[in-house]
Amino acid sequence: MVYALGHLFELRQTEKGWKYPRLSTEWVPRYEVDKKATATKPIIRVIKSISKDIDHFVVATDLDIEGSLIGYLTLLYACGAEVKEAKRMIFSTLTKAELNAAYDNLASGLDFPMIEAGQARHEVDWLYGINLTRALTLAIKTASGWFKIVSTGRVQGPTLALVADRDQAINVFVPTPYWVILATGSHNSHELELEYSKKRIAVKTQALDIVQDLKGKTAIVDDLRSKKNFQTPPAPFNLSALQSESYRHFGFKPSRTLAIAQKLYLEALISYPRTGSQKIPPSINVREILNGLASYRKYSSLAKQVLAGGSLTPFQGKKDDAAHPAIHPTGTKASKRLTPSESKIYDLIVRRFFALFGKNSIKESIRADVKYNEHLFYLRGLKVLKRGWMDYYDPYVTLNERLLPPLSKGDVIELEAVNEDGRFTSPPPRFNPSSLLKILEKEGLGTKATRASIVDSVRSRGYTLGNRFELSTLGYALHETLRQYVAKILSADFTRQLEEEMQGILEGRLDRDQVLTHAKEDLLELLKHFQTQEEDIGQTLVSGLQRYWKEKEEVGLCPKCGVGNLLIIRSPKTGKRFVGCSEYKEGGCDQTFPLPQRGTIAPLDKQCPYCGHHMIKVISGRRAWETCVNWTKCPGRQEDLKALEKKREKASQARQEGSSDE
Amino acid sequence: MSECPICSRPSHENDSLCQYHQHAHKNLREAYEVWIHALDIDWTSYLDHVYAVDGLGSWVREVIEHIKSEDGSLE
Repeated sequence: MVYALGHLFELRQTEKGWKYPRLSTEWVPRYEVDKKATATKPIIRVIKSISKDIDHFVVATDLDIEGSLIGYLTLLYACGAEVKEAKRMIFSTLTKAELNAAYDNLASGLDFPMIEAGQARHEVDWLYGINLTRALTLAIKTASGWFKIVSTGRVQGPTLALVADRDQAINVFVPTPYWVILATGSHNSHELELEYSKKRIAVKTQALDIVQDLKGKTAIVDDLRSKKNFQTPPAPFNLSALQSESYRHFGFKPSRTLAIAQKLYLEALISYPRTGSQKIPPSINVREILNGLASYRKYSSLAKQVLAGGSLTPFQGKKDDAAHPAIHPTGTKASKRLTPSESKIYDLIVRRFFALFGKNSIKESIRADVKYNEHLFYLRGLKVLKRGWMDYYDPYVTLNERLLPPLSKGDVIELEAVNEDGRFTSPPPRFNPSSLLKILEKEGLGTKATRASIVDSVRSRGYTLGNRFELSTLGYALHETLRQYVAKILSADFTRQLEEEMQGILEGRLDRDQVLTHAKEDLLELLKHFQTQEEDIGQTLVSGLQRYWKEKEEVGLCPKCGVGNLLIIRSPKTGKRFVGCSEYKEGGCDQTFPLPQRGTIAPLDKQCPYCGHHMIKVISGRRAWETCVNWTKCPGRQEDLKALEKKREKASQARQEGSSDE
Repeated sequence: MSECPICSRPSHENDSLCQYHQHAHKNLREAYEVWIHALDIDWTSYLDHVYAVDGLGSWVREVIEHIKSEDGSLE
């Protein structure tokens, strides 16, 4: 038995030269293409050496497109096996029992449609990624002589377009005013918050008139309605729902959630995470899982409660995935202590699993119509009558209960305070990693296994700033260029069509060669069009890059010499960054300012209100803040600095105490 | 092709602003109608008020700064 370490073979062009178009490829050992993949070399050697006297081969990789392709390519190129005679193990958890059962019941052959679909996806992605990236990079080289790799790809293009469209909508947004009526009343000494029936009032004088009409008046309960709502348990987790819930509760990026879930899967604690299914099929022994969970001190009482509940039929969601069930715990005990992040994800998965066996929750919503002349208010209440599944899913349940005092028709409500509150419309929100992933799923872009890394790549390639998905000047330069010259690569429809064709291969409706021929024809047409305008494309990208670098590095005029520009510089000796004057060499200006060493720094076009120095924005993780380059001496920031020092001292003290305990 | 006076991006010959600032300017004009209806406000006060509101798009902010600057020749 040998392991693979992800993909051991990668595609490489057969013709030489860093040029485009390059349409013909071959599979070669990964270390020949990726210099960092040195770890694959000894594994391939081991696989080759032990494959010599083997009677039959069994592929036991993950049952999905990538797993099946890894198994197939390893058999073909490392083992030199007859792939049609190989057998397949099918499992969704790595528990000993399931692995034994999968080995005893081997599938008669490999899943060739899945392998074909996987090969097609790799080939199409290679064709588009390599050729378009080279086209853009060489256009820059032709226009300026610089070699700056600017990448794009089949899914990355439409993702960039989604981020750019949202960014533009935010940048051109003009807030408009409106007013809301805020009112409180009292009934039998209970203070009540009233909601005016017209949610937004567009004209200030109208809002003032309403306030004038209602101040100090007495309103009457005109009508009372109540409604019982039955809420089913939440559906079992598929990957995107787990990623979304994990972002909501813990702030984990989708890629982080997937990486943690993968670790839990490898520890045999949960089922295979790359699934689209929201179903727990009857073949899964839920009683055994619950018994396993009952042996955890933390979950013992909840597991026993579920087991005592009688029927062990889990609630099912709508989506299905032929290869794997919804994500669920295996009930197996962890062989090592989980990290805090792993514990969080595991807890979320376990409690969601318990919730599937809970009864519907019952909520009662009440609305009282409160009237004074033509003015109508609503009083809304929400009460949970029966918690049902919520008992199991705590602390991940949001209740929003609002209790009302007993009310009857004709009751009097004294209007105690009535005011107008001026507000403004808001721009659409920026994407966060979770919302961008959701929209990719909705648009049918990428797969459940690739979306998280696509979301990360938009940022890591410098097209956005931080986790807020604010498009950088580089992102704009690329988006503008692609939109002007090769708009098709930004189109979600174009990528979706390719995804559908690959789904066709998976379902056996289409043939891989057919899809590849079609993809190559489309690509050649795009590249031909690109080549005729290479010079213009290069110029557009170069001017965009120049703006990008200027904005990224130039802080503003030097306050000391008044001639040079303050630039963000990285010391070649220490590797630390700081702000220095561009006139250091020629004019001898020694003005410098220290900079925070963590996070991304973006110069801002404004001055500090306290000391007049240039402002910068620091984006670190999920936090972003503005400060001035003179932050260590700025009179307006000394309090913040003291607070920061105290925080650091406290943290270092805690660390020291921790180490002395050990 | 001429340059946008705000950001130096290329602009159309008949219009001094680039496509982004042109869009921002159009939105600024259109929103003024809503502000007049809401507050009965003149153009200059509108620019002052809207400039101070959180959520104003950064390109609109730059257009307002340009209008208010000495060489702002959009009005």
